[in-house]
Amino acid sequence: MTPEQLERKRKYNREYSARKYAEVKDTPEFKAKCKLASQNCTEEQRARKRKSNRENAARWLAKDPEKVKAYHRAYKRKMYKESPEKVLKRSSAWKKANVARVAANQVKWRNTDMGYLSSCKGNLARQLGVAAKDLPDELVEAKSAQLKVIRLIRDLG
Amino acid sequence: MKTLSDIKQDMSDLYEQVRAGQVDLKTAGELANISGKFLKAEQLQLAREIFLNSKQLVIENDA
Repeated sequence: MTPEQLERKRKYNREYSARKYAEVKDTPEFKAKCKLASQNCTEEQRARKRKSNRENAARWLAKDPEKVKAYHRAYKRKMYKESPEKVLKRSSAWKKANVARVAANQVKWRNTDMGYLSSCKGNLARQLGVAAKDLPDELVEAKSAQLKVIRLIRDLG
Repeated sequence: MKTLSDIKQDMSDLYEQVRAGQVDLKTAGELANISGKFLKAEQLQLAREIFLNSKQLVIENDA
């Protein structure tokens, strides 16, 4: 079999399995089968599966980090839209369990452009005594640009 | 009088120039301060509008 034929066959198989999965994934029989399979598998099999999943994720991350990040962001948005309470509950539980990481992420966020813009917006809203959403975007952006210059001058000088 | 978009554009240009070392830091600092004054004026104008609007609302409510 030539490489082109092999690739075509792989592509067909992928499409076929995706089509089949889409057909049966919501049926109760398929769900019951999955549940049974997960109950019947041994601890070793589970560990192997987890390891394989981890390796696969790491491979994808190394291959195309932007794509993986975009996928995760889209997945999070989808989950939040479907069941916001569940997501918020999980998120607060994670925050309680990882206080140091939350603090580190906050510092990282504050040092980004969006973080500066958000903090600038909050400060302006506090000074004017209005809600942040009522502030004109142009004012916030101009103020943020000015603060960016001041920060750069401070860093250089 | 400069508009907010002018100030934003000026500050973006100034940022690039300072990064490239084309402008003296002291001059850049002064320019940033001056644009801060413009922004303060805009803020005051906005605060005035907000204040007047809320005052009108109170009068309407009293009436």
